[in-house]
Amino acid sequence: MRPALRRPVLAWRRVAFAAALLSVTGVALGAAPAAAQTVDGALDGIERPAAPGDPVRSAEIDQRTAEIGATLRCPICRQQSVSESSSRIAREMQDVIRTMLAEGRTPEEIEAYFVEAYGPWILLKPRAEGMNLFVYAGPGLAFLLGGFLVARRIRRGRSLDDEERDAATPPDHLRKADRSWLEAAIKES
Amino acid sequence: MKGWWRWALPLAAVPALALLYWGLGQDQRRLPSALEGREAPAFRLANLYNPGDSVSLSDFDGKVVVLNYWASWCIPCIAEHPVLVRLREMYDPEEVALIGVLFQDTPENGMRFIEELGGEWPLVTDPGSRTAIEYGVYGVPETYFIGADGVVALRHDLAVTWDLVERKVDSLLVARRTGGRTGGAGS
Repeated sequence: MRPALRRPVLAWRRVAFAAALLSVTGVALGAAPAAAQTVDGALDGIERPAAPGDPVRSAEIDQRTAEIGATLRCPICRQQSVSESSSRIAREMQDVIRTMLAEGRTPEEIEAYFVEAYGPWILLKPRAEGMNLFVYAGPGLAFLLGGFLVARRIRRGRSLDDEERDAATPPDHLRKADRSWLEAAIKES
Repeated sequence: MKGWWRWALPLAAVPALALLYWGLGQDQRRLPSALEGREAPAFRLANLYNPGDSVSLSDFDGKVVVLNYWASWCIPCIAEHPVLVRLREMYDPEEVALIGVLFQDTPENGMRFIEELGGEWPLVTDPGSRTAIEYGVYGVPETYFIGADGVVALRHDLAVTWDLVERKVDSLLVARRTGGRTGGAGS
């Protein structure tokens, strides 16, 4: 039995090792864009902090603008994100995001700014709070309820089958009576 | 238990169907404003006719403010313009301020629009729609009724009618005179 018990432990160790490896890789990958915030001093090899207007910083802000814009709904197009839409209001909202990022505002602060102006409707992915919880929990609850009802139905069907089978076989007490009557008749003969 | 389940499932469907019925009855084009019942965002914007001068919301502290976003290319703006002209004529500028914010339009087109249709109230430009975005504007026309205490009472997202303007401005004037607080009210 011992080897069988040790296998899950080994499996867990492997999972833990893989998770650690992934997290280390993730940190390394995550550090890459952060390192790109400074501009390499080309030939002299000296790094200097990114200054406003540096192409690297602009590219990074553009990328972050696109990421934040992808979470916001275009007020005109409504089914498109601010990043996808080519409407003027969407482009102006992108400019606002860009400016706020350049000011050092976090994505959460920027999101809160738009929610304050437009309400939670502006978020393409609704927050999991209040009535929205029904949207998130509803399918899971419906699945559980459906599974419960199906299981209940199957169990009920089985018990009905058992009842029918019991009804088809002769009851024990009659057989006992028959048997005693038969035994008595044999003795008498 | 059997009887309980027989009733529970149809009963559970009733609120879901009621919600569906309510949802289908809503006009999906009209969206609630997040600003109603909250303090109107402050702004300082350049005058349409004289960009060197600016107009700010604080210039109208203590007054009922009707803030109208408009554009020369907006057809409903043409339809509602006589209502705004009438508003300016009917109410005392010392009590009720009307401000027009030009939305996604050139100053030249805006000035031409006013020359043709008239209008004697502060008109401002909003470069980059920064103020419009801060107010949560979707499109034009949109009108914000702001109480004397600086709180947004109503955002109306279609052309305003005289009935609406009169009803809302009168109620805000009553609140101003009695010192009552402005509450948000759905459009």
